[in-house]
Amino acid sequence: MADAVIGSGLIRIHPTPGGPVAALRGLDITVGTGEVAAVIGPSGSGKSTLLRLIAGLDRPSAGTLVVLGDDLTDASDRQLGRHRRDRVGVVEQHYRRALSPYLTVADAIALPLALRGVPVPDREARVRELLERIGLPGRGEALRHQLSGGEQQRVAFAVALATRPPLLLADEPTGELDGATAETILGVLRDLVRAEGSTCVVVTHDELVERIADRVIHVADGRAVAERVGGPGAPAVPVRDAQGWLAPALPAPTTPLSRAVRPDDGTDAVVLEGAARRYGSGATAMVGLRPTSVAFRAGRFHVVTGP
Amino acid sequence: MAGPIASLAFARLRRRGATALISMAAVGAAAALIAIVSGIGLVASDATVARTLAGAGADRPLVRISRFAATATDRPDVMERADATVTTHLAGFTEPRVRGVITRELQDLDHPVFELVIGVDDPAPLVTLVDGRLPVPCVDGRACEALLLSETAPEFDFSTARPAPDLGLTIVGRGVIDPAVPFGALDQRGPFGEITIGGGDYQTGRRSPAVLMVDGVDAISHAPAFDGTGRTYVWTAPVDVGSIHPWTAGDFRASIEGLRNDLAAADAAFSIDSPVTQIDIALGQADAASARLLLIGSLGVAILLAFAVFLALVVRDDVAAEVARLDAVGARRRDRLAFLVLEAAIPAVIGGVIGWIGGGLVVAMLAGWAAVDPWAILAGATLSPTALGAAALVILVAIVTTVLATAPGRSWGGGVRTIVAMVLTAIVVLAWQLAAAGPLDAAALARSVSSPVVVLLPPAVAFVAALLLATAMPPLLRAITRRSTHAPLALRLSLLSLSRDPGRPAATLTLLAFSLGAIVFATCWSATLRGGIDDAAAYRSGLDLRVTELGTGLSIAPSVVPVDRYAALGPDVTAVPVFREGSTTQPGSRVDILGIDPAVLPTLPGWRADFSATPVTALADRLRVETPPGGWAVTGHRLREGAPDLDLRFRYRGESLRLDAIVWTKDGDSTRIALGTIRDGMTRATAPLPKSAIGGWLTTLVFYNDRIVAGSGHQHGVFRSSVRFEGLEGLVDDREIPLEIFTVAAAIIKAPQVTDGMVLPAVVSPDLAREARPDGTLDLHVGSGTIPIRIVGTADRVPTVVSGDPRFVIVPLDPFIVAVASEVPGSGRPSEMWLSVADPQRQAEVRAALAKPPFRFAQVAARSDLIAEHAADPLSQAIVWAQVVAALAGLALSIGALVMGAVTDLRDERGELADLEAQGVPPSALRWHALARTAWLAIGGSIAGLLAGLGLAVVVTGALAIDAQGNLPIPPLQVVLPPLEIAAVVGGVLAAVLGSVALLAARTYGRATLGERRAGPARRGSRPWTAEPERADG
Repeated sequence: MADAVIGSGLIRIHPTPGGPVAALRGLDITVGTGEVAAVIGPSGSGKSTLLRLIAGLDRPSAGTLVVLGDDLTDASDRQLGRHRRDRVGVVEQHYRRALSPYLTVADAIALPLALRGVPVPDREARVRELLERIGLPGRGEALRHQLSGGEQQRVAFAVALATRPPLLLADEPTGELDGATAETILGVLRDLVRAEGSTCVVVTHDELVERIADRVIHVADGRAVAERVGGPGAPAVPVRDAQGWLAPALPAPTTPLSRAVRPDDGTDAVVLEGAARRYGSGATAMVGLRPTSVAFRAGRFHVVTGP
Repeated sequence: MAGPIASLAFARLRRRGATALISMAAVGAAAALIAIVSGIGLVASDATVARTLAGAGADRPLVRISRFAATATDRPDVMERADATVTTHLAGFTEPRVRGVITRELQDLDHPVFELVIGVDDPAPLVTLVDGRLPVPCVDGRACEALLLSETAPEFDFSTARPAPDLGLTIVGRGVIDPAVPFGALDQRGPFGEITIGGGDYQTGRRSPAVLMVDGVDAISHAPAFDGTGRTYVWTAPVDVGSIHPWTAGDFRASIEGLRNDLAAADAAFSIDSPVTQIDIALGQADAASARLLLIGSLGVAILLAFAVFLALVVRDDVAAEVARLDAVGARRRDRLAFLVLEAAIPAVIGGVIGWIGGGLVVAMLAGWAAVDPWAILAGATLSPTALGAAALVILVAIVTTVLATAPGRSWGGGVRTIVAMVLTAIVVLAWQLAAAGPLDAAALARSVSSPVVVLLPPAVAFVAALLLATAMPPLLRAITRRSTHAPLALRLSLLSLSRDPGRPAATLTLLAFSLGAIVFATCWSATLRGGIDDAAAYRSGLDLRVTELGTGLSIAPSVVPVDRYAALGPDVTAVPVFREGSTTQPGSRVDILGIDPAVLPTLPGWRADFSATPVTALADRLRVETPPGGWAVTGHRLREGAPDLDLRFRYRGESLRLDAIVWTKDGDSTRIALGTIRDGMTRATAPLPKSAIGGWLTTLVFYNDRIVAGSGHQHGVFRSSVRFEGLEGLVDDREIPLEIFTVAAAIIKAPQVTDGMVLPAVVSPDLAREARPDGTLDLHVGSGTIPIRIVGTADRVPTVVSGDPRFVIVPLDPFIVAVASEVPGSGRPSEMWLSVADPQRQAEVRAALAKPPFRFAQVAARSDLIAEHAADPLSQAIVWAQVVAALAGLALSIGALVMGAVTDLRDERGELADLEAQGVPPSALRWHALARTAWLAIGGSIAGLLAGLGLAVVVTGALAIDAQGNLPIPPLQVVLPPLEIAAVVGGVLAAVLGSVALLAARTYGRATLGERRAGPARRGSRPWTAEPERADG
């Protein structure tokens, strides 16, 4: 089976008022057809930029990107537009934004089909099919505000997959959901993708995604640092860059979440004890913040600095 | 693909609720306004035309064709053809024509009366019989029956008449014929009664003729007795008033022109009278009014469209989100464009069509109310291609501006810069046009109905105002915010939020400023027009009533002497005599002379402070002349009291001359007494004195040539003689006086007067002041005399001198009367009386008294009548109503915009207020913050609106030199700023807005905490506009 996404040495440099910023620094990625791939990394690691490149919303500054057999590296606007319209479905983090408050669930799912001229009977059948698959049969006439957050996200999946795109891209699909709901939603996503036969790339902070992913790619600082292929039990393999260097060694496991306490002396302050942040797990885990204790006291001027 | 996009747009329209409805209402109101404005204009035009043609009786509108023929054989063929031509051309616009012929006056051979024989075809419907019966049709033209048309019965047996040897008329009855048809003002007073002042023809001393009417035009015109007699043929057709409307006036005009051309082609002697000119004047006034309505309408439309754009800005984020969703599901560019267009077009088209229909219904109702055919009005105005095009344009503009305002990702920079450049260019062109044309008078405004100046001025002003506000507001807000560090928290928060994102607040403020400006403008302009009506009425009537009388029996010049009669009107009536006379200062330059008591000048209600740079009291002081010891009286030789005759003793030598004496009567009049021809050697001349002259003053003796002075017998040369009078102390001593008369000249012997050698003070118009000699004096030519005046002040206008470019002289009444009587013997009487009636209720009684003796045929101009006449004018009313509607619409929109802005703020879609609350800002501060934010906008918008409205009122009043009726305003309009009304409008807006916002803020932030609001079940109204409660998942 051919790979759905093949990216090699992807570099994307954004011009900013403060000078050019490299969002991707030679990232390599491969996603097999029919796989659910999770791209995990901290904020600013370049995962959303990667998603925009795969979606055809942007072009790489250097490197090559082949998606579903088409080389998007130097594709024209027209080609990218066609790619976005015909081959890609996108699910956003903000599910409220994804659904029009003025359309019923059925209308929202049917809209992309209607835009492509699908006959009404086929459209209705497809809507029924998708509603079944996302577990919302009989809710076709509901409006957005009549749905819970999880239900809205499920509808967003259905809208994105209505036209049977070969590639589904999801940007932080559980970002606004609580843990239990997120788990449910991810299950729905996996089942849906499997049923539709699509390839899915999920960009997320959420480690729960690892449970449904066939492939997990950890990115940091614009590069893929580790990759796990196979089920949740498969080992993660450090990724070598183009020069053959391994990614940097990972620090110690994550400490518990930080907590804020009120000082005993009764002064107003923010005190963090053992605050830490870890991304990923196992050999591919990354540290956002090493265990740190710090107190910001009222009336003082505090500066947090670093490279 | 339009299908799903249209479905989406309709679904949004269906569920968006309030904003969509308001947007529809705004565009609908704009379309309705156009429909109503165009309809009101036509209804008012029609009412004006109907008013113009509303005369009754003798004043009925008629088409009258007449032709004089010297004899019966003067082209009879033309007469026959003319009859057919008249009938053909007037069909559809007039009632059936009536034919008549009127012969010239003839002396009856058997009675001491002159007779006028007229023939009328089938006169029965036109005659009101007093006694007897109608004559039978005349057949042979020799012995006919006739009806005596006379208001008075004959004094003698007048059963037969014989105006010519070959014609005997049997008078079978007496009556009066219609005062308009077919002859118009036919003198039917009759020759039989006493001739009194106001009755009979005292100007010529002739009695009225006896009018004898015969049934049959042909019989009279072909009567052998009248073969060589001049006659006038008349065809008269009363205009069918119901057939003349603004939309048929052109056809009527064409009919009259066709008739005129056909008759002129047949014979040049035909003349036609018709009301075409009056109709054209009325239509011209109506066009001017329509242009003003269009100004108001375009102002209103601009406000409404601005409101629609404001609404588009309010929902811009929502539209952007929808477009993003469309992008996400693979919509093409054309889909996005279709969505944006449909999103704007559906409410605009639905609202526009509904508004148009609603406007049409209102127009139909107005037409019905004004008793005009609604279908004709709708067809001529609301459904006219121009009006339909205007409505379509409004809808199109609404769609385009809304699309531009809502298009996501579109920078306002480039596009707006282009639009701004275009609009500024257009404004420059408009300003140039205005500057080049000067103030638009009624005719110019009437011509400008379709002018871009009229149509584009209000929107252009609106756009500039919006641009200025949008440009100036952000830096201004930032500056205020920087200086508000010590302000209360709510105030500072409100300033911060405004300055951080000034887009929508700027739009709100602009809308408020513009709509409030429109209200203030409408209020000021309406007050200015009302003030103009009051000013014009006061200006034209002097005081409350302005009375003119025809002269006494010997004088046809207007005169109100004896002035003592006016004392009988009552102690509460102040009568001010005024001398008015036309004069010249140089050949061909007319000057109005107004002689008035200087003390009255400051009390004239029609005098406005802007008439002169010098206060009127100062002008009055300068006009005062010290009264001489004997007072201001015309003097001469005092005639003996009780002597019934004027008896002059003299010694005369030389050629024969006629001698007249002028006697100034005790009641202030003068009379001229003919003493006959004085021949060489005569020593005495006598003549009876009129009763009023007995005991008067002989002021002047006039010797003149009594021979033929024109034609073939014209004698010319110098006639010399001499005269020595005896016993005429006060007029002339007993010295011998040489007389030299050249042809038509006269030798005048005048009594010395107190004004001899005196140069009277005068206030003059500026152009006359420029004509003065270096010493400030000027000669007035009055009749045959010259009166020098000394200029003591200038004024641009003086009440009762009605002229667009007045040239006048104000002089002190009493000395000027004496000077005129001296310089022009026989003249010098007050010609008008201005009356002030303390109790307005008494005016009717005073006017009734003025209609009876001892007053002569008084003509009265009443200030109240002039005001009422203007107030009832349909064009004025239409404009005032349009202003009221525009003002109310603007008021509603102002309040609506501010409240909607506040509601949007309170929705807090960006969560800024929630963040503030999370950071510890108490709900009370948030309430005050919302109120303060609205208050800033309301106060700023009110100030800007006030300034804009006042500025617009000043500019429009200066630019449009027309009064409420569409005429040149005399005196010019003066901007009136009604402080109470303006304060009420502004205060009302502020109170309504702040009250509403306070209520909404209290409902929104009435709960203790943010968490409580979010956690608890959504309370109705706790999130205004679109409450959308969140649901907990799973």
